[in-house]
Amino acid sequence: MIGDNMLEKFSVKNYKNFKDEITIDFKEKHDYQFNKNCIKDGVLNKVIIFGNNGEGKSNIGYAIFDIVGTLTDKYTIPPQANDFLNADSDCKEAEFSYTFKFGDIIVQYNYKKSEFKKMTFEELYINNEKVYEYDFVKKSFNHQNMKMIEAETLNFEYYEANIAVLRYIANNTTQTDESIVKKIMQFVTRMLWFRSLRDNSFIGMEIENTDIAEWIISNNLVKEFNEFLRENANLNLNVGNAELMGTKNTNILIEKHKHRPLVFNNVASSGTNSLLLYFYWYKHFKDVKFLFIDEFDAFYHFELSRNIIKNLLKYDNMQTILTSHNTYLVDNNLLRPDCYFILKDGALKSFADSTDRELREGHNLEKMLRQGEFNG
Amino acid sequence: MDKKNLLFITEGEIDEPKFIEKMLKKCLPNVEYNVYSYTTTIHTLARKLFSKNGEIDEDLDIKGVLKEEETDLSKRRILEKSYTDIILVFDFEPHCDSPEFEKIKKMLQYFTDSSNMGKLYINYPMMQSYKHLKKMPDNDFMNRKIARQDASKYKDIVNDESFYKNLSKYNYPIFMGIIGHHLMKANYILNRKYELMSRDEFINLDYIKIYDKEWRSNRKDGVVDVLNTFVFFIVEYNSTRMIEKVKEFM
Repeated sequence: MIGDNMLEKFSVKNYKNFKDEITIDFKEKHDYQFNKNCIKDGVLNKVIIFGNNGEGKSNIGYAIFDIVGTLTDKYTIPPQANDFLNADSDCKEAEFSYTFKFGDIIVQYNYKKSEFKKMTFEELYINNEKVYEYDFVKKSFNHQNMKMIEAETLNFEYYEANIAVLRYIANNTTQTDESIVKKIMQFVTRMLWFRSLRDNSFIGMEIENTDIAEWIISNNLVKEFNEFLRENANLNLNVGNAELMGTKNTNILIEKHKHRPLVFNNVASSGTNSLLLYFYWYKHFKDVKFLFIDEFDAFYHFELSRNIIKNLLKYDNMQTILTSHNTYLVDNNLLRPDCYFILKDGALKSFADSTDRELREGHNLEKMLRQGEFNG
Repeated sequence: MDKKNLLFITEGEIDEPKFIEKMLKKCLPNVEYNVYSYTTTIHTLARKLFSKNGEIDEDLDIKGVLKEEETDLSKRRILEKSYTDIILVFDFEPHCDSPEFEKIKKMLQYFTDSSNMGKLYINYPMMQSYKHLKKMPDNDFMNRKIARQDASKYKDIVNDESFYKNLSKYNYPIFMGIIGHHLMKANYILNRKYELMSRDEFINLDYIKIYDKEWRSNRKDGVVDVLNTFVFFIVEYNSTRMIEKVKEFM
């Protein structure tokens, strides 16, 4: 197969504040000749979504990551399930559609749900050919092409219809490395959502240890953490580690000072704590296929936000969506007009598609954003 | 950023960077700066800045426009940095084959703030005019002109006539003397007064009117008055103090 595994397109309907269908199409790239590292195999690989408060920037993240709860036992968070259906719609199901590109094979996986944990409909297409379709309400199964996913011998007699068919197939068949089911599962288990606002919650991925400080110490990463802070945030904190004696010996991070050390957790600013969290996930980036960081730079100085984007650009393996309010990041020196999106009135459009004007590398996108050029 | 960090966008890649280095070393030793050499004339640059309606596209960013065609990685890096001020230094080029004098005038009207879109300085006929002095004081500088047909030989002419050929010997008094002469010349072009202007007159110095007069003179009589406006950048940095300093050394 040629090319990487990527999410090409995602749509959702009747979910949270999205009454009508909203789509993010990563194929909608323009022919810009600069910052080509934002694009991979013809698909947008680094995207930043802007939008006013309440437009649903966080909800679009929860929606994309719905598939993690549908197909895996990985972590999900309560906001994904709460107020699941749109409160204005008469429709009783939310509709999700994922189009993946696995090399040159296009896979579309659609499903409907009435609640976060309640499937009502599901279908799978490979290169536009329907593999199966299952209606959970009528219990009607159309599975004429199960051979395409090496599941033709699977017995559905004992299928209890409380989990997705695709998940049942993945759990109950032996799939080769080249199989589409395996590719979907490998992609979904490598999706990661996190944010550094209020709490350190996340969706997807495995984690070894929830105490980040302890994780850094036990993996001998204290020195690297210091370097990371210095390089990206221009911070010289002289972080070290110390053993806390007590009923159970625990390792903690400290800041070394002339007269006495300070406990890192007690003295770290919101920004530094946010960087600690970023550092933790950053050490996992090599295993991530799809990353969403909500309000990624809420606690960052504007220069630091740019450094973080430059850091993320190094990870070609990881399709990335960020949300932000920081217009300083809108710059053709960082990304390009087809990678900046505006979420407005239930629609997601790139800057390039939000104006009739032909945008050039020379355009000052930040100024144009502030002046309302992309509100169109 | 509490420190000035300047970007000079120049036409040439040899004389201008050398002159800027020396002038800053002697006159503003504490500023950080980079020089980006465009290596093409302002007439070419002008065509890239205008939209179809014949006006400057004010949503363009000068660094971005230059980056569009720059393939040299180290030069692209210069354009990717952030600066407190952007200063454009270009030659009038009276002898340009496909001139864009109308557009350049609009550029002068637009590029007026170094800390915002950038500030444009035009030198008549070109950068090397700074040293077109035969002695100090040089009262004949008032009437020093160059014919359009000689503009392509201007560097040689200056080198023949200048008493200040050797940039390495420039010191602070020489820079103050050079700035003083060009201030007097600007005053003469505008007001027929070959004398230093006050700080208030300097603040209101009409670069557009100078351009209009030079443009008309080039069109009608085929000559331009020798004048370097880029050296006024040093005065603009702190005009109250610098006007006094210039007086001191004149």
